[in-house]
Amino acid sequence: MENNNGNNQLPPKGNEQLKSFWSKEMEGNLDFKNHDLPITRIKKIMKYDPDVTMIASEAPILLSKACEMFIMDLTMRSWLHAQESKRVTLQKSNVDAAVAQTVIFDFLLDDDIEVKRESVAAAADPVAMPPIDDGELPPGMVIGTPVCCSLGIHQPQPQMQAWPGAWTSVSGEEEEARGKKGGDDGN
Amino acid sequence: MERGAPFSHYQLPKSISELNLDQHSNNPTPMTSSVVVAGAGDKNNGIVVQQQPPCVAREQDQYMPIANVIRIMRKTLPSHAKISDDAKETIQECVSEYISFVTGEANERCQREQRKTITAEDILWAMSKLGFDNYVDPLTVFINRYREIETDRGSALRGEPPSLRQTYGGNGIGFHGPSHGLPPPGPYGYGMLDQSMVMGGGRYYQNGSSGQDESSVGGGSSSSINGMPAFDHYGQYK
Repeated sequence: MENNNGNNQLPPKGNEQLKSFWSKEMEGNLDFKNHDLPITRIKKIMKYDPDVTMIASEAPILLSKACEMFIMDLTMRSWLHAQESKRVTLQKSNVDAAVAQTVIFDFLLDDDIEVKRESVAAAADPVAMPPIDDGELPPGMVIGTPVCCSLGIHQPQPQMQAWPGAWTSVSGEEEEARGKKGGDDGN
Repeated sequence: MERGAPFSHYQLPKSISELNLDQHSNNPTPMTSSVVVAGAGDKNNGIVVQQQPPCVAREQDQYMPIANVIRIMRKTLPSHAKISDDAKETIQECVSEYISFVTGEANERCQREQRKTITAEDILWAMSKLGFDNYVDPLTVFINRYREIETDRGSALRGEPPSLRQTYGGNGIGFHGPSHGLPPPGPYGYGMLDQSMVMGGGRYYQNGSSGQDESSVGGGSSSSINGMPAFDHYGQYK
């Protein structure tokens, strides 16, 4: 069990737990044939964009792992909000709060705003238990308050320093990736 | 720049969709949810009906399978945690948005550089630009290991040339039984050409074609390799 009730500042604690989960995932999940997420479905979603023409075979495989990390990331942040409310059931409002509170999830706000209004209207009928107020970071379920106000959060990203090195190593693999492009023309 | 609602260019019949689902039969979690929704929810049914998205695309194909999403969520949560149906559906929709978001950014880079194929590097670059820096390092390790495994498969195929050489050498002989009157290197030279083609293709596909009509032991394989150009002419006359 994870007791994070006293956690006031979400990003650092969440990052530590997320990295722990990621390292575990890297150790345990090396089965490249049985992906947790179907590659064909990812490819189909990628091709919904009319501008997308050709996709290398490695791209959806990489995205399947990225989506797994995304689900874990979003689920964990949502769970932290659920724990603030002393609940053992992850609610949609917890997911919406995590989306509103995390900068990198801004691309989800347009759809979630509409969904959130519906949930707010639905929550108006029954007496919903208000979540514990953090003080600094509102949960994102305040009626009438635009969600954009809570987007002033700026998380320090030390990973940026390691990025050039990672890109250099990736560049080394570029020839191999290009070699595989020829075989992917049929996709 | 966030893109609008995606619209579908591919409408597959249900049978193919079912085949897609069958391909991932290692799915212990049933689609019907056994979690009781706390409070009044919009959807009290256990059946997941995707009616919120306004787009007309096939509901089944525009989202990741919710059972897979739930399994990944449960790996993150403690064992006593429960997940409401609304939360499951919201994260399911978020994953599709995430794929479209990253793909759109990667594709813009491709077009800027006048390339047509989105590669893994484009995906990594897009995630870094969009703020998912924490994802890039683990994914780099992941894709490098994936390539190592692919390379090992290629080298494993290269280990088979001796047996393939004999096999294709046998195909070159159109007569029953070895004839001492004919030059032995000729048919083996022809077999070498086929073998090189197979070796080249082996990096991407495992070509299982092997003609073993006759099993003949070829002792002059090394000499045929050296004299391939010369003896190839003899092969044409046979």
